[in-house]
Amino acid sequence: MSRKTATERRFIAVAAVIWFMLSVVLPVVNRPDVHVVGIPLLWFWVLVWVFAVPILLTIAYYVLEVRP
Amino acid sequence: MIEATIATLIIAIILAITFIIGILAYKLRIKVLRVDTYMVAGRALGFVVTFLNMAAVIYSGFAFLGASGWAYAFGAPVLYIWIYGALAYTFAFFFAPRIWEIAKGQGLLTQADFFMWRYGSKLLMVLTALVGITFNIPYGQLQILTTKYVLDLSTYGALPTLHVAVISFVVVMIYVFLGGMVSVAITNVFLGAIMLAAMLGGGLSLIFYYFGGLPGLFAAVELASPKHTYLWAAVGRNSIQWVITAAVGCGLGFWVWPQLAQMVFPAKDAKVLRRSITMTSWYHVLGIIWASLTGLVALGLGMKLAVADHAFLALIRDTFGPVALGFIGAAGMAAALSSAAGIILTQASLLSRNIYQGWIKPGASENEVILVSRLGIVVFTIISVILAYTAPAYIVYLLLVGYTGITQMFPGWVLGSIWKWITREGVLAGLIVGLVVGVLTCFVWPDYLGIHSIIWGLLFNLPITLVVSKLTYRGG
Repeated sequence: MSRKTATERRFIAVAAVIWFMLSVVLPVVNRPDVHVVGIPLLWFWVLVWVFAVPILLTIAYYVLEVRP
Repeated sequence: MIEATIATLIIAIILAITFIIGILAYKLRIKVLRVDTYMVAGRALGFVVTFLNMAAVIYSGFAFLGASGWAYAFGAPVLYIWIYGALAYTFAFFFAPRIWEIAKGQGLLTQADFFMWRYGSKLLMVLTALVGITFNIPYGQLQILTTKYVLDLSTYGALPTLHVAVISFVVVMIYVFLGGMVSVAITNVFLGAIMLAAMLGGGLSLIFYYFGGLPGLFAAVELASPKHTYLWAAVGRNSIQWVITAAVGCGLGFWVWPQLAQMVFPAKDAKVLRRSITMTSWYHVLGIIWASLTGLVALGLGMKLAVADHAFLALIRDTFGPVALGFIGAAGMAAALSSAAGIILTQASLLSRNIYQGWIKPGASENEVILVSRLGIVVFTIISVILAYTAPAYIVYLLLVGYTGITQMFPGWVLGSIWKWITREGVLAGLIVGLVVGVLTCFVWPDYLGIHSIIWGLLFNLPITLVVSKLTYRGG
């Protein structure tokens, strides 16, 4: 397996973690009584992980395509 | 009256600029019109055009207005829209370059071309082309109706809005007819940029103007309607299991839509494509999230709206006046028309390339294929216009089942590009069973147990595809 393929697989693993956090974990964070910085936990959780996607892809693009 | 004139004038100017760009793109950028130029812009698009073309086609008028309407009406279930987009981009970053490489190497121009090349089956090619055309019919019509909603508010009821929406739609189809993907992509740079500015600027300015930020917004929403801040429904649509399955299902189905496949092919190389998908994921978090939160702003302010989808535009009109309304309204119209352009071009391409050249007349020349594409654009435009006026009930059913139906091509499209042992028998069997189960769980037992019909379809489709493929794979 090439170094690039191995690195790509690591990024796919991180993407899988994001899929997990944005789906399976939702019932756990669906708590109307819990807030983070004034935002209901559910919304805060989704905001954080949804923003994690472009950050991850930007890093992955840089690592895989700009400086492979 | 003066307010209506100002807002309408801004919308008309932006439509006129769009038309001029579309025509200029055709006149200046196309030297020789070939089939690959018409359908995939000769696979020559750079980063900015690929990125904004993709974004403008993905984010339709329904997403622009519907997301804020959904947030206003139901609250937290709108999160499924945020989530499925995010899931779809992580998937596309790794998957799309693979499909692009295949398309480039094999000269594929449409998604149905892939099915022909991969499985050597005309039946599968024609079936997937028909699925792509049929399930996109309501989306073309929907873009006209979304433009009408935008005009209803922007013109303060001063114009016959359905007629004006139809004229706008036809104006766009003129440059699609002439220049194909080249005109669509270059106008979408302009339209995509306007849409992002409107969603981000409009959304943020409303949130900060009224509530000073997200904590203030959520405090107001919790006061007005606490249940909007979490997933409270135990069963059915908008329940937590529905939100999760809808998000995962739509995340998987997102890149199976044939018009998105066709937005991937025009990139000039795989690196440009990856960069564009990365930027489109930024577009998602900077655009749709803030546009959808305007539904909560309307709720927090205690606005009483007869049509939930009017939330974003009604807020802009009441807060910032006709100039801002004209700009945001134009962006809403841009979202609708840019998606319509991509959809109609894709339908026409599937018709000419896969049904006409691939099946009816295999020896058809390039000029004939382009002619049939152009005829297809005329035909699908007429169908959309007729449906917009008559809006028969079955259109609603097609819309409901659209995502579910399209996603049943996932095993053949995605798994077939990864594993060589996926066979046409497996894909056909899975597709047919998945479509039947999808239709049943759309209409007979709607989203049974609160699980989205996409997932029900895939639960049957995937194992059947895998098992039948294992049984029928002969190697080689």
